[in-house]
Amino acid sequence: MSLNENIILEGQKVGKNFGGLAAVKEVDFSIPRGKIVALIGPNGAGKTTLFNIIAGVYRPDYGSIKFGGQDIGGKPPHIICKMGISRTFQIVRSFLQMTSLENAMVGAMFASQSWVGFKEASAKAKECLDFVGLADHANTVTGNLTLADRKKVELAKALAGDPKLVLLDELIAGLNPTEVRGAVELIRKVKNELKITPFWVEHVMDAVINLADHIIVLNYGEKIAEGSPQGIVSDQKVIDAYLGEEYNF
Amino acid sequence: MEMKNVVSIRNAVALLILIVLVVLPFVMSGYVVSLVASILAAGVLAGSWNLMAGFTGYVSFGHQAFFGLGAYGTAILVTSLNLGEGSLFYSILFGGIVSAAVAFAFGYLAFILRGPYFSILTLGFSEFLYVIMVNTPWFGGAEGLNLPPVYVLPKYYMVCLVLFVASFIFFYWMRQSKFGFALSTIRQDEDAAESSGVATLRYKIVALTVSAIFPGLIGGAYVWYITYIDAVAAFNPHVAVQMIAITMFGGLGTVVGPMIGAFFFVILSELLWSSMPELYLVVLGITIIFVIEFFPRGIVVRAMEALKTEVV
Repeated sequence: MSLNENIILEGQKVGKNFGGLAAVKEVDFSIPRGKIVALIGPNGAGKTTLFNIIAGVYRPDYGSIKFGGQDIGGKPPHIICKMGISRTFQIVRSFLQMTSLENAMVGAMFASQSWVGFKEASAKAKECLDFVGLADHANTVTGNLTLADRKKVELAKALAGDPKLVLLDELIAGLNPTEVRGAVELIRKVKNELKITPFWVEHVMDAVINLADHIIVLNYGEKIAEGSPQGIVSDQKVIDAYLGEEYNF
Repeated sequence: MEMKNVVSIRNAVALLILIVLVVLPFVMSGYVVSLVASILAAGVLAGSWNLMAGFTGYVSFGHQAFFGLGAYGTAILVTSLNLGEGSLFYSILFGGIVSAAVAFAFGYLAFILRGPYFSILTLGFSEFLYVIMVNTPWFGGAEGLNLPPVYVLPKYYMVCLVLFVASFIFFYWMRQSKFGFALSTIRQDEDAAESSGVATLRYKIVALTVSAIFPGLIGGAYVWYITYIDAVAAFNPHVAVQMIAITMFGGLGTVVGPMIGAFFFVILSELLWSSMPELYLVVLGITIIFVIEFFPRGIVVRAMEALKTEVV
């Protein structure tokens, strides 16, 4: 893999051990700008660990991660966020005592590399709440929102800092079918309208196959396959490890 | 009552209190002046503790350390250079700087830890300083340090009043600032704050440093007032307990809670102390339990909610 203008994020032989357990083992990945790449695999496969390495929560034990050509491996999370990688959490972690608007303002104020004041942040936050369809709940305390709405707040917060790449950790899991359709549409809009590249961990296979341009499959910390959705669902290794024989595409 | 009326009444009351506080030392007896100075000092101390515990979510059990460091900083400067009363203000300032500098350094070490581990470390930190002071002859050892025996009550009062007003303005500003916003995110979910671009370590260290400056200045002023300091008085856990009790009494995480809490708490202590010295701590303890049991968010917050006014 060479340095390519169209590759926004590139990992080479990235690995992380917890004690004797290899949580992520020599994983290569490259995320093209403007494509939706999904990361799938069974529970404990290392998906969230890989996200945490990219976001700076964990320092990789080996391997390199380049974002826009710059090495980011081991940088602290707030620096990586300011560089243009924002994220949502699998277990929603909004600031529950703040309103939706204030949550989004946090992203607008602190994820930006330049100084952003309250006024500017508030305008940007409103825009993002509008984008995720939560304008009506701008002044609702996040702790009082439903799970689906809290996930939208997370997304608005992640988008408010104008990132180049957004790590979405199971944005759809736990939503009902109607909400799933809305969320899928939202991810598509993030890519098409905001020109932000999503890198997306998900278990809801229908959504993944519908939406992803490219899929990476992890199992026991190792990359066992990657390719187009059609290729992945017929890959015997992926069927054995994750999808199961009865999965019909 | 309409919101606007409540706000204007509140501002009028605040202005009235300020006028009374400024005029007070010129018209009242020494006893009243020293009592009110204690209230102001206690308010500043509790407010500083509240900056960490209430706004940032880091509970310190050793905040008396910063009071003690200020007291020692001032006392060492005055005694080693043989300074007189003329040095009062800048020697107090020096105490504040010492306290802030130590807090800044301590922050780098301490913020590796979170939650209860941080709290226990602060407890050990104060004990550590206590042992250092007691065993170092240059710091006066167990006998402590004596300052020039001058009568500085009016100046002490004024320093406390200035710090009270300054800390109030600072906390009030902070509440609606980007800085306060950052501390609030750290309190609610530190990992999420960090991932949202908040430089959490930097904000925590700044918060700790600020929350050490005010107690350091109060400590410096206090040492002039009582003209003497030793390690037992400087690093007394009772000081931290009082900061915690006052803040819980008034309202954790609010600006006016510790300030108004200090008023009730010090007056109550004084009344109990003079009327039933043998039961003083018992009754005080029961009162605190009662308040926390029935007004867990503090009496000031409860009153503000009753008045349907914004909780400040």
